[in-house]
Amino acid sequence: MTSAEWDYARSSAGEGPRYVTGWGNSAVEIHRVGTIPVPVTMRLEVADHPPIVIDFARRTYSATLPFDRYPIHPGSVAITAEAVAPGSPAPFPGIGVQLDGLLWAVGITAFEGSAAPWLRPSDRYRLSRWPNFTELPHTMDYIRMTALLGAGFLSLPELCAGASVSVGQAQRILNALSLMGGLQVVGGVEEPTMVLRQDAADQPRGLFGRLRARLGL
Amino acid sequence: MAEHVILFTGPMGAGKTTAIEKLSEIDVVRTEAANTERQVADKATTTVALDYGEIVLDDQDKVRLYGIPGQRRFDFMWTILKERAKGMVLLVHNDADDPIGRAVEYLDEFADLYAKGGVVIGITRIDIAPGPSVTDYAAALAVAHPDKIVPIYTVDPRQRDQMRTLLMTLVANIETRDMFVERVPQREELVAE
Amino acid sequence: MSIPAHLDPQVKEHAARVLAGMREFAASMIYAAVLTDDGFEVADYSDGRTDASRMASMSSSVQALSDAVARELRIGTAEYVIIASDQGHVLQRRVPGQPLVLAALFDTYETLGKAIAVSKMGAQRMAHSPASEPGPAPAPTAVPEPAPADPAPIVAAVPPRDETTPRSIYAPPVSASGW
Ligand SMILES: Nc1nc2c(ncn2[C@@H]2O[C@H](COP(=O)(O)OP(=O)(O)OP(=O)(O)O)[C@@H](O)[C@H]2O)c(=O)[nH]1
Ligand SMILES: [Mg+2]
Repeated sequence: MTSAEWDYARSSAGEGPRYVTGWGNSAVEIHRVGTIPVPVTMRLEVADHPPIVIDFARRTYSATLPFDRYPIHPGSVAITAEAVAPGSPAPFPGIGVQLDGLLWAVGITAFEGSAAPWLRPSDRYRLSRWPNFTELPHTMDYIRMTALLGAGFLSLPELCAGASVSVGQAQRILNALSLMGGLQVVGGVEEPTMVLRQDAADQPRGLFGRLRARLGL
Repeated sequence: MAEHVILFTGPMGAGKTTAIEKLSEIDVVRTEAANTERQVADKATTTVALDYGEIVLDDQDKVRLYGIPGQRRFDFMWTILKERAKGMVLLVHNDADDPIGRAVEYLDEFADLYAKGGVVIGITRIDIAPGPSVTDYAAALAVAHPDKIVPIYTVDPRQRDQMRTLLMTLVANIETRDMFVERVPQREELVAE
Repeated sequence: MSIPAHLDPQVKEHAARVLAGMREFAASMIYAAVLTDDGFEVADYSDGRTDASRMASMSSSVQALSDAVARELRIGTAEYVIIASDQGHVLQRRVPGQPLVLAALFDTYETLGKAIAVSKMGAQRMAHSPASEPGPAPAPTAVPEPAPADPAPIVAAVPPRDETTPRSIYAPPVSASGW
């Protein structure tokens, strides 16, 4: 990396704290900082709560409180991000936990059923890596949607149709997966070469649906 | 009546028999023999033919769960068992020698199943050996098979809910593959060309 | 932990002697092996055309599957397993009291009865392996009589067809008990 790039990266990481409202704005900030190509650490402080500290280089974070114990609509989140030298020690004691757990929780809840602002209505999505679902709270609908996204490029309406879910549900998983860096996003209108079959949607007679009913999942 | 055969593969001691015991609704048919290779897997018994378990869907249908013997000297059983399988749950224990190498080895061994059906990978015994990570496995698989995105989960085969998540992921993957078709170009597009 | 049978020179030697004894008694025996329950070859008597380690694995699987069937049907444990085919029959059984299996292939000219008897004799001798009974190797006269609890084979006493076959020191005395 040239020093100019380094300077750019440092400056986009920002200096003093930014104050934002709600998890949605926090997610935008996480999304922006998470794509910076140098090691960055981030600290999110919700008033009257212990800080959440992220080590993007190692994809880990540390927080003494589980995410669901933070307010749903925090009035003020103070966010500091800092570019650090490669190989710097983690910004918290211990080894932390997998960052995906935090990003999944933030992504699923932050925008409720609306689109994250970095996603566009004309986008198509394809999975680029499977989330480790045994470590993430999930429903069978999320597994089915993820499998669909793994099979081809899909638009939001196609994802809803294929998995028989509401727009809100589909949007939540797109928000979360893209925040985790697990989606390939292509913009524009061009249709992909592989498309969903017309009768693809509702498959209660399919093995997935039957097994799900049988196991009560 | 459709055949729903799911194969559990992976090296000796990965947890295949344990996983089938957790998922099966019937008493599992086991073929355990006294293990003389305690240095490879420190456990009393090892599978020498197959494991067989079932999840009953209705009067007509069941999901059949077959476990292979993990040791290569039983690979004739692998050949027999993989023929009817629709998909495979590959379990690899993280405390094995070169666990990523073992995962790639088993994927190659069952490549046809990988091509025709689906595969999910469960990394076991992470409480004993926390690394390598899911990301390390994914990176190695991306080199070996760049065209496929394989679900890789950390699992404890003794946990039923985790094994169900793994199984449902495999079934979802197999089924959604059949939901896509080649797009037929619209008339305007053909005219434009 | 004791040495696994397939790595114990004394057990291997004993197994080789048992197999050679079977062969001397039944010239129709083309191939035979003693293997561990989990499919490692301890010793084999072979025509050189059989891949002994692969056969050991297969015999181990067959034995375990047969036991699984017997368990499923609640008919006790499988005493022996026969694979009868055009060109020979394979007979295998567990070695009493040991985590070992004895498998043998006989040509079709052999009567099934004799094959069963020879394999039973071999298994009984194998049961007295030097590892489980420290001390001098069992004398040839120490051939165990069938345990009373042992169910009789389907075809019990078939006299050896070929009386000119040389008797090895391991060959059993033909006794009224008709092993
Ligand atoms: N601590 C721990 N133990 C595990 C875990 N998964 C499996 N085990 C144990 O590891 C052993 C796995 O044994 P099996 O289920 O027989 O393994 P297998 O894959 O069937 O092995 P073979 O039949 O010999 O190929 C069992 O004792 C399990 O209880 C895990 O995640 N953590
Ligand atoms: Mg097993």
